[in-house]
Amino acid sequence: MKAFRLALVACVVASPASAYRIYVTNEKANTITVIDSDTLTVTQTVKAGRRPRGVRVSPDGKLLYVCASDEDGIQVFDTATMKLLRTLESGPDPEQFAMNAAGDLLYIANEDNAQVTVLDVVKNQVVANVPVGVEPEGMALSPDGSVLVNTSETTNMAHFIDAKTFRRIDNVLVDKRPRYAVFTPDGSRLWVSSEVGGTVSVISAKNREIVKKIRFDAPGLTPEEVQPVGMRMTRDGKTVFVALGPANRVAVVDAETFEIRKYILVGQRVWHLALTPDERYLFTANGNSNDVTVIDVAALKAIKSIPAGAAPLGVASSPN
Amino acid sequence: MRGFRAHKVALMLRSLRSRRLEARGRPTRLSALLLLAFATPALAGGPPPADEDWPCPQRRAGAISRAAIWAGPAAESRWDDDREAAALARKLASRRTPLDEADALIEAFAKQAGADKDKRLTLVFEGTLDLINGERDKVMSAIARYARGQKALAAKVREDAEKAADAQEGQGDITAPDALEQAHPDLKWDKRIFDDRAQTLTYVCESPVLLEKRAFALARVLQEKL
Repeated sequence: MKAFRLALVACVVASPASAYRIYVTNEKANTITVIDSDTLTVTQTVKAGRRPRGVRVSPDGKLLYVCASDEDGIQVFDTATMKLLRTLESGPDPEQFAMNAAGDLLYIANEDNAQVTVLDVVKNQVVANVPVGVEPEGMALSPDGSVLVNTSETTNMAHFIDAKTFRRIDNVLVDKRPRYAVFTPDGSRLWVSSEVGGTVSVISAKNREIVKKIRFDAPGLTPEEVQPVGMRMTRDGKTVFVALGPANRVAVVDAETFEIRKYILVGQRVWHLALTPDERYLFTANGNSNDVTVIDVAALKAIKSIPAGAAPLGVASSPN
Repeated sequence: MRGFRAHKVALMLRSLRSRRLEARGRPTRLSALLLLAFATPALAGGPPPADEDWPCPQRRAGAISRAAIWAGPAAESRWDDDREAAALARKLASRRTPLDEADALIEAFAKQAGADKDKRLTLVFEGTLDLINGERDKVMSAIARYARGQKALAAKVREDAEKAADAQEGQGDITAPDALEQAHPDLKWDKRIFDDRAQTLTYVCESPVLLEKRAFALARVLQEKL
């Protein structure tokens, strides 16, 4: 009996404190797949606008924002009902966006007009249009909210922008076709992935100098297969996951030594990544195998493939 | 996007026909317009192509790497030395075998593979990848040939159009429907072939991708049985 009770306690302890919801945008199916992080199954598939790409959940978990790239708008869903509440006016062809901590401002990269649109989501009003390089893509906001970064695919730069005045602070030249940018949790460094260059540049936020350029010489892969795109960082700032596109692998990088600890085989054409807030799982959106791979973060192992819609691209986790 | 551009060229040609009126008495302008339509490398567009003979929006990539689809062990012998493994590899690689039958075929093989199951499944994987890479290579060469053919055709249409415009200069009325094309049947046919081919480009470009997807899906099922 005692043993049974112990086993029961162990069971309760082992089960996660809460289940999160994972939202995946399917670029060609024009849908959003909703996954339960506890059962690791699809709970819902919701119709979205044309070509849904970048996706984020509001800080309170109540709203889901999705770039409907071919409709030039950001769709807002109620996460409780998954009903479309409204479509916000963004600039043309929105792809990725960042959000401030309060959740009332979106910073949207508009691929077609070389601008970053700053949108007040409460008033549905454009606060500013900031001219940047050609084909803006990645967007990141520093943890203190003071610096905005945009990467431009054609100009091959990370543009540092003052988030209050929207004046350009600096430009940092990185390798070809920068796709994604993320700040370290302490805000001291910015990581930028270059899809065609095949590298990740780690930039000092203070003096905007490249501290390290990470290459991915994975054994057995050709350089053209290695195309770094989406990234996620653990809260302690020690580990960064980098999606390598058509290499079908996620690189696990030690953020202190910049060594690559592992290349995990996931689905085909891996685009973006999402960590559950408890950092138990990493979800990867796989554009060609039309599925989501679940990685057990502690074991650094792919444990499951969950079928999604056609061409999954973006993925985000609920905060609660 | 390049496929789309090629289609656009075809559309431009069509709109040229409706602009025949404008061309009246201005054969040089007609010729210039046709030249313009075909002067841009007919199949190019977007960022400058790294490879002139590659018409697809997808990057031209070499053979599918083992490491991009396989996390299992490396093969210890040649796959075609194991006859059963080779036979299964051939069956799996063939596009005539529906993908949803692959699981049962692999399962059956794994069951009777004996103690060397993992080694033999690895050989099946090696064989499947080799065969699909071989087919993919052929498809890619065919696409490059197709692109060269389109380029040559574009040059010919351009030349014919110039000749047609020259011949028309100072002569009769070309505003009657299809007068230009009737007077120059070659031009009409070449344009039609060009249009048709341009429209199938998207489909053609998808075939290497479909092979990559097939190789990945098969590797995944094989790995699950290890």
